[in-house]
Amino acid sequence: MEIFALNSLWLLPIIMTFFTPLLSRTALIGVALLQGLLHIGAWAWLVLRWYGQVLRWNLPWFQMGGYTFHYALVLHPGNLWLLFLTIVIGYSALLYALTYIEEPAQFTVFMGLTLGFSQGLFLADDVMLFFVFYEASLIPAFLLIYGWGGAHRRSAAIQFALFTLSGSVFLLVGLLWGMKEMGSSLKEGWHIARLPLGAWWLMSIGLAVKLPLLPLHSWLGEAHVEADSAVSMVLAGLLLKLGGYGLLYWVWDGIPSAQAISLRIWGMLTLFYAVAVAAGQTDLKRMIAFTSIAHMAFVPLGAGSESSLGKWGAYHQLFTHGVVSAGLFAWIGLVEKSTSYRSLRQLSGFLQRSRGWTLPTLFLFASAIGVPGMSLFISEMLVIGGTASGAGWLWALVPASSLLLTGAYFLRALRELFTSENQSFPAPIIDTKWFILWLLIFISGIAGVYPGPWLEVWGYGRN
Amino acid sequence: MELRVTWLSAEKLSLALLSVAAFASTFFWREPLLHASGWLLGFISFYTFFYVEKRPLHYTILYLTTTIGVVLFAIAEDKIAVFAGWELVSVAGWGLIASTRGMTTRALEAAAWTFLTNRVGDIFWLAGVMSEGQFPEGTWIAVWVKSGAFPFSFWLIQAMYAPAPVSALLHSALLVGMGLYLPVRHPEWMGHPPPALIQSIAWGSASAAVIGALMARPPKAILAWTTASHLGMGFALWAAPQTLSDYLFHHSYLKAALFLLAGILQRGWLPFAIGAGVWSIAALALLGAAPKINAFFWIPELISIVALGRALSRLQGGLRLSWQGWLLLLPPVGLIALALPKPTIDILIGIGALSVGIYLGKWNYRWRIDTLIVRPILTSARFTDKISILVARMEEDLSHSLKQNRYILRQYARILALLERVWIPWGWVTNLRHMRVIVAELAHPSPALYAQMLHWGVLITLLLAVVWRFLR
Repeated sequence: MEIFALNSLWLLPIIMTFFTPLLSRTALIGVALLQGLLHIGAWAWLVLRWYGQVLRWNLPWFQMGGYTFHYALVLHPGNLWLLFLTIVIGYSALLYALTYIEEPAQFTVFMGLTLGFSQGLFLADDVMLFFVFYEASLIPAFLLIYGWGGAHRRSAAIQFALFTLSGSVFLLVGLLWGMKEMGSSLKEGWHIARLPLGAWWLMSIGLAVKLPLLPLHSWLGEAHVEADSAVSMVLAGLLLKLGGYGLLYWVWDGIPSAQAISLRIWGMLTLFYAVAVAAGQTDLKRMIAFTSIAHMAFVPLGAGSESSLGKWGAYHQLFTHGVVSAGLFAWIGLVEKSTSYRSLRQLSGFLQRSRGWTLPTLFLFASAIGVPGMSLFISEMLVIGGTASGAGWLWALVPASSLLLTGAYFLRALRELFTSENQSFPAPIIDTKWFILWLLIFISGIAGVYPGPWLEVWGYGRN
Repeated sequence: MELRVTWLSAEKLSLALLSVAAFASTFFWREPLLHASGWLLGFISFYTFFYVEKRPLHYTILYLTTTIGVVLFAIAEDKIAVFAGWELVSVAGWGLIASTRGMTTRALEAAAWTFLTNRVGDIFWLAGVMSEGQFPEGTWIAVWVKSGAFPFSFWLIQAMYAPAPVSALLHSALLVGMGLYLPVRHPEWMGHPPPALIQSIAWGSASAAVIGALMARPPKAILAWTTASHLGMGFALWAAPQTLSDYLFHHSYLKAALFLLAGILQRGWLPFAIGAGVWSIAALALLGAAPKINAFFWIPELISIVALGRALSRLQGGLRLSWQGWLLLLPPVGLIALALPKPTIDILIGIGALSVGIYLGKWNYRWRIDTLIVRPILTSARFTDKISILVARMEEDLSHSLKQNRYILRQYARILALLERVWIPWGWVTNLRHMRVIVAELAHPSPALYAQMLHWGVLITLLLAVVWRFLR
């Protein structure tokens, strides 16, 4: 039964894609709801049985060059909440999009494939299986960006594909090199301390394209902005996490000090650069996209903190940022639908006129700033605490300063949105999409006020 | 004619309930900060009930947030939980400044100024506390920023945009008080600062702030500057936590009473004479509660009493005592009664200082100390804004050129085609030709095998170089 639930986590959405092309929009919404309930049920069943433990299962898959590759799945504290995140973000974005998107059946198919392959990636315990899922998730994501969104979506999609595929070259070479040194492709035989430095860098660069870190990030600005808001939710909420999880699980776990220092420097450069870029944006969607990069810079900072607190903080940052950024993209999507504006200058005075938007906007901006009571605060504190205890207080100033910098430009944006009453905006559209916005805010709030289930699974909660 | 009952509504009743609950809480909260915050919150929400007309629910929710923050700060042992409490109070402060007088540009700017300055302190708090005693200076700076002592007191002046009860609750009592309460609550995070250093810092910041108090013009700004001065003086008491906390709570009650009085007098609900009488008692009590450290501290202390006199003479007052005036007079009088020290001979000197201040209040100064420092900071903020816009434009150009300039993509495709057509087939032919040799040579390696490996190595390197060039 465990095995069935474990496999159904990634197979369920993929099998469902065989049937979805036949359905109408209304039926698709119903099926998506039902499928989501089933999916979350499978996850909950596994969690109730295996909370805080490691569940491994594998079958020999094929042999090549003297190596045996396995179809190996794992459920462990690192991916437990990321699986939950995938389900929540995936179905939220799907239901969000199904109310307005053109060609809903095709969209559902691609969304289901993205969802299934990302679940598979989080579950994979064999490095080759991980790579297969990593590559497989690229194709539907490419099609999602290519098919729906703004005017320049096609070139943005090509850019996204080129960057990720170039990263995959590095990843594959590094992974094969690493496997040759280890003699095994399973995580149990994968000792990161024995990974050659070249392979480590190749894998880091390959996956950092997806995270993304500083020189490899220019696809993100385009892809997030040009894609449809529902796709942006999935991109920021899910696909960035594939890179982050891959790095944390396969490459950046228990690394020596020299590499940890380079990770911290890399994260620091990314953080300051992304914040500087985000502060200068007038397009709100672009500002949110660069905020994602700034938040993702906490992953190398946490992984390079040389403490387990920082490492789990980085895992938790993946979860919390997934919820927050998906919420922000859903928000900007709704704003754009309602007013057809996205630029800060055009939206000036928007909240003054449309009072119904004030509360969700305040909550989402507060989450992004890292206000206590919201989930991002917890993960950022874990990373900062881990950095201070593992690497020293001077290093801790780097992630801590992001509290100030992010706050500065979000408050500036808020000031713009509240004041200057030159324009009249239409009344806010209150429909089912609001439910998704509030769901994400609610999850963020729960994880911020009661972080027990997240921290206890790593052994940091109350005893 | 429309009949509107503006002073009582369900939203307003929440404030009354809050007041009753806060007074009740003083019976069972024995922790000093919580006990004090119970009194303060009780009196101030009573005052707010009669004082405000608009958005009473905002006050209730944000006062409650403040209380949650203070409770977390006071009772938590875990560092992150303490920080969450510390931070929640500044968030509530942001909300109170930004929303209670309407979300205008001025309000949002004052709120952002307050919040971001507090966040500068938070960065040092995190570095200081998380460093396990390697960097206690960080914690000192955090305390300094939070309590609004001199080089960091400009946010306190900006925060005076908020209405009187908010200033009384946060900017004279709870928010700034939390800063100085940290050394009382967690002395182990403070390290062991040399007393001479701490005393000179305290004296310096108190004296500098008092100059601000002499130069500020609006009465609430004068009060804010004297708060900065009084809390700066509190630094000198770090070595004696009990004295420090006594001083802190006395100061909180009395300064809150002064803010509340200023609020009533500004509305004209109280004749000037009555207000001035209560005000003078509070000011003299502040002098009586002042820490007896050494003679040097007399200078800023006396000047701050002079400044309080100035603030009083700049307040107008009304013609007659209205019913709101009577009710609103209760909280400040209650707060003063809580904190009244024993009368000493200092009072005579204090009365003299107050009269000097009232006389000085007739003069108008043309310059303000906060503009001397705030203006360059605002200018530099505009400068950094320009830099970030420049960087953003650079970033946009980069991706624009990648997107629009098909040349690079075309070159990339051309090189790939060249590789596919020429290099890769040639590689495979060579590979097949040498396959037999390779198999034969596996047991006995020869130069031909190395040549083959070299070939593949060159091929992969070339591919990677092309990819790298594209990425750059």
